[in-house]
Amino acid sequence: MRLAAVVAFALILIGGFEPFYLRIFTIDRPLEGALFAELPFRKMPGLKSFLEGVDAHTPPRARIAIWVPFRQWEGGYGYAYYRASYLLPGKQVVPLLALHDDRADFSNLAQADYVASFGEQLVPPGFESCWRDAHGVLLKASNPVASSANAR
Amino acid sequence: MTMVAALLTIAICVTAGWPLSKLLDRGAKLPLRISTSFLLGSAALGGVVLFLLSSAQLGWSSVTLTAGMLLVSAIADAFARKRAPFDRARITQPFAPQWKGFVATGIDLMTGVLAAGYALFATVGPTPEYDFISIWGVKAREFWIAGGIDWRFLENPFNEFAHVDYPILLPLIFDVQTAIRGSWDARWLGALYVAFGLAALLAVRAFIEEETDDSVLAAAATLALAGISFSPWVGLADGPLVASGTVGLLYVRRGVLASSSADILRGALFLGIAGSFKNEGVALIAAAAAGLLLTAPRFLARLWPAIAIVTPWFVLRRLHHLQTDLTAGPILDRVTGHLANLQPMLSALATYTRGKPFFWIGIGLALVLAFRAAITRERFLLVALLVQTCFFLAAYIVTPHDVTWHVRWSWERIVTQITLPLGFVAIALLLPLIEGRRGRSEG
Repeated sequence: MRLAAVVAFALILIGGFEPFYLRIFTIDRPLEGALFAELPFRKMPGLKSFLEGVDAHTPPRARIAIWVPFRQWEGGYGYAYYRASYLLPGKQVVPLLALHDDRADFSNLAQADYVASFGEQLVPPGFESCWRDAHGVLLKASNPVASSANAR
Repeated sequence: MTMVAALLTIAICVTAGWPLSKLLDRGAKLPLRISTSFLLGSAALGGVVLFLLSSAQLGWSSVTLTAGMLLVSAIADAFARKRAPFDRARITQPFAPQWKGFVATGIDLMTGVLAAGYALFATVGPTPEYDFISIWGVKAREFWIAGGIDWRFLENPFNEFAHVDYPILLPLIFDVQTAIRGSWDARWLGALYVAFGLAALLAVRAFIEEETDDSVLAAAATLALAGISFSPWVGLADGPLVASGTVGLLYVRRGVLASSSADILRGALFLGIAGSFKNEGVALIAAAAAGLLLTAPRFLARLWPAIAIVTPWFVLRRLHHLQTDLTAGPILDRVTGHLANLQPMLSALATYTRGKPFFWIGIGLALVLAFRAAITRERFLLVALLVQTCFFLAAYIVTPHDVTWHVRWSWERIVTQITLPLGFVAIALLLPLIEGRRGRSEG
């Protein structure tokens, strides 16, 4: 019984052991840190730097509609939209897909001061380009209400 | 400066919580004192001080936070001083041969090396976890920019992806560190996870020392449970939930075994904190109630602090119309649909159950070897953990998401919420067998 108990104790010790917490002393930590920083954005190269640029070129409490070349929440749109909210703190992101539905909903443009168009340029009436980088364009509303748009 | 701010935050939390911990449990040994001080201090600064500052529309800064910390400490200290001094004679130091002391210290050093490795992992860079970016971190960042709890952000349907119904203690604790630093720094928020992991481990060590007088066995048990005390999901609520939930369960367990209503109250306080981190923490309160019902029902009402702590969030959630996705839409249709076809859920559970086979075999073996003690002495904890597991499975039955997707991205992580207390039970069952004691093992 005692031997069996020692074996059970040893199994718990060995099984619960995390060798990675020893291996980490030997890895290139600055490189690992850089990889960690980019990992959440790796599926859309350029998205992070584009949204950081959008953040730098928009005022606090701006309402920014997000447009990316994907038309499904779980098929790419959500990936960009959820990350945009994190990278645009103090600003309200506005979806251009209907909530809970994989269809474009440009009526939400009426609730946006800006459109951040990544990867595929959206040209909504009433918005004018105010900044761009290699990955996308930021458009500012010149007209308070815009309700239709075309993707190019 | 970033690391200094992180360490300062932890020190401030421990300092703020120290008088609270003394007020709560004057007899706690140093490891448990440090553990409970951090848990109480971080919860008080985030959940009380920042919440009150926000409600009073006073800005969040290191100055207002320090003022709040001093106020919390002073009030707790004043109450602690009013109470009769604790009889130190109750704490006895058993005689142990010198070699055991050296071996135990050596094992503790190995645990320390693992903790240092975890600290490097948790702070190597900003956490890449999706749930941090879309749930916990995004709210903390919004609140920080808004200088208080941003109810407009939480109420806006465009932000429902951020699970706006989840309790907000964790984002508020992130903001404690952010206020001390003066700006957002996702990387060094990882230091808080080291503190939560150590809080869990120190508490487990203190409770294990109540199970054995053998310092080598206590040190080995701590080493065995170190890996599962440190949450790999940095930035998520699971690590803080494990720390506060485990401390809560272990206090209640001690209360059941020693017939101490004071310990049940202490446990309920930490269960309430666990329920303020995540909805599973609220389920854990119900699971603990089920455990008490089947072991010591006379203590059931003593869980009231847990209910009192989590209730305000439910009231606020209702006032601000913050919906939870699990109960949205036609629940009954989903439940009947999932129950009629359990195969996808069972298949997903089988597919996405990974890792630690030796650990689980060891747990199973311990339960078999000390079966009688398990169903008598450890009944409270085992019933509570079983009921909590049922809650996990029930969430998959009511889920509005694809069940395979839901299991895939949550099962492995939520199981870690019960792994530490379960590991503790197994070791508590094995220790008497290893030491050749039978009485305690069999309750």
